[in-house]
Amino acid sequence: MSVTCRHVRQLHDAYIDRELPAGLTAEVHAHLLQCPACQQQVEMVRACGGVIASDRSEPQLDAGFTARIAAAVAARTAAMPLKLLGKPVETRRERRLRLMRSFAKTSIPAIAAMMFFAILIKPSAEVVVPATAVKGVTVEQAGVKGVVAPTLSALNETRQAVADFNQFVEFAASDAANGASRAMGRSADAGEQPPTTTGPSLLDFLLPTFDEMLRPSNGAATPVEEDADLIRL
Amino acid sequence: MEQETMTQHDPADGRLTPERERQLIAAAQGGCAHSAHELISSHQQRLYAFIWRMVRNNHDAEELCQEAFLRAFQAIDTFDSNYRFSTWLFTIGYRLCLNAMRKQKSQDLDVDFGTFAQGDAPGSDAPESIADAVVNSDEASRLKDIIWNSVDQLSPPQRATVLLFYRESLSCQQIGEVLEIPAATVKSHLHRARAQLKRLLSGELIEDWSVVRAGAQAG
Repeated sequence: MSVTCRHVRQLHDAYIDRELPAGLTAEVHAHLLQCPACQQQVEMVRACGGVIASDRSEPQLDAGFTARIAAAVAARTAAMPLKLLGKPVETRRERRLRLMRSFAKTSIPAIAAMMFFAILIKPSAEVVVPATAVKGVTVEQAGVKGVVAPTLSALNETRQAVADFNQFVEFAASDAANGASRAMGRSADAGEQPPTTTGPSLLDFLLPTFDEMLRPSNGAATPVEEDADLIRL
Repeated sequence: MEQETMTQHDPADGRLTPERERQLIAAAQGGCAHSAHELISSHQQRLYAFIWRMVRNNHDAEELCQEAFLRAFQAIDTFDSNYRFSTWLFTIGYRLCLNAMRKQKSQDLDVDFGTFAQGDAPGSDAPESIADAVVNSDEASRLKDIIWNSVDQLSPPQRATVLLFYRESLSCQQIGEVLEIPAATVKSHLHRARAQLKRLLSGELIEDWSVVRAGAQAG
């Protein structure tokens, strides 16, 4: 099977580098002998390699370069700390791992400490402040009068109610005693039924008393409410 | 002593033999300035040529070459003697070149053509053979310019691959160690570089190639 130009072009590099097996090398060589185009391509690549390998047109270093480098090497080596002498050269991966390790060593305790202090100094739940304090008015600022006056009024009302109750108990007791004596005298005289009571009944006494207790106070309420407003600031 | 030193070099291009190189590195690791001096002098021109071909600027090439030697000798204690010292140097030099080219990427590339083809003027040296005459001819000189200009158009990895393959005669495996890429990637770079060189050169140089080929056959 004869090789074509397309096949040979794919084998140019391997042929030039002598990486082809002997049989294939012979086939390519035979093709090159009869194909000037392929031969020119191969010669071009070989000539390029030859020029690149042999051309020494680069500028030459001056004679003192070696001495300058040697002096610089000696100076830099002398200036290096002893601990850096003999330090192995790190690869990029080793340097990245070393930086990650040092970062973990230093940053994790720091972050933990920051979180601890953040929790420590975080304010607790919001304090429920009384209405008086929220509005910025304390009991002292409102005045003792405003606090005490409603209390005295309530005490007076209570005292009045107790007095009324005592009066009611005394009246009820006397009324019961009168009724009992009358009933006992009548039955003793003629054996008649005792008559109904003619004096004020207990209900007659209780109703005005309760009316009086349930009626809102007018005269004493005014100063109390005024004082209460002081508290409600 | 001079005779002994000369026998420690490859006769072809004056490179150090591996055995001599190991001796010098061991001595340099012990602080021997003379050994360091010999290591520098035996590698400086090759490294400088490689860096100059990469950055194409005299001043930058000299600075980078100096920095590469400094870094190499700073870490000379960690050098693995299983590798060639030149491989290590070229690795450092290549990294420095990439960094320098990245820095200058935004700037206009200042190609130093002033020293290009220096000393290659026709008739500067007496031709020793017909092949040399052809190589030093006007056509060959123009051809070299075009070839190097084509090399300059390659990407940095492709250019470094071509230079190390042809100039330093490194294998794909060794080039992969220098460039820190797999050997298969090196072969790919080399293939693409050759294809691009063929594409760039095939159109206009028919006569020049004929002259070079005829001269080579005559030589």
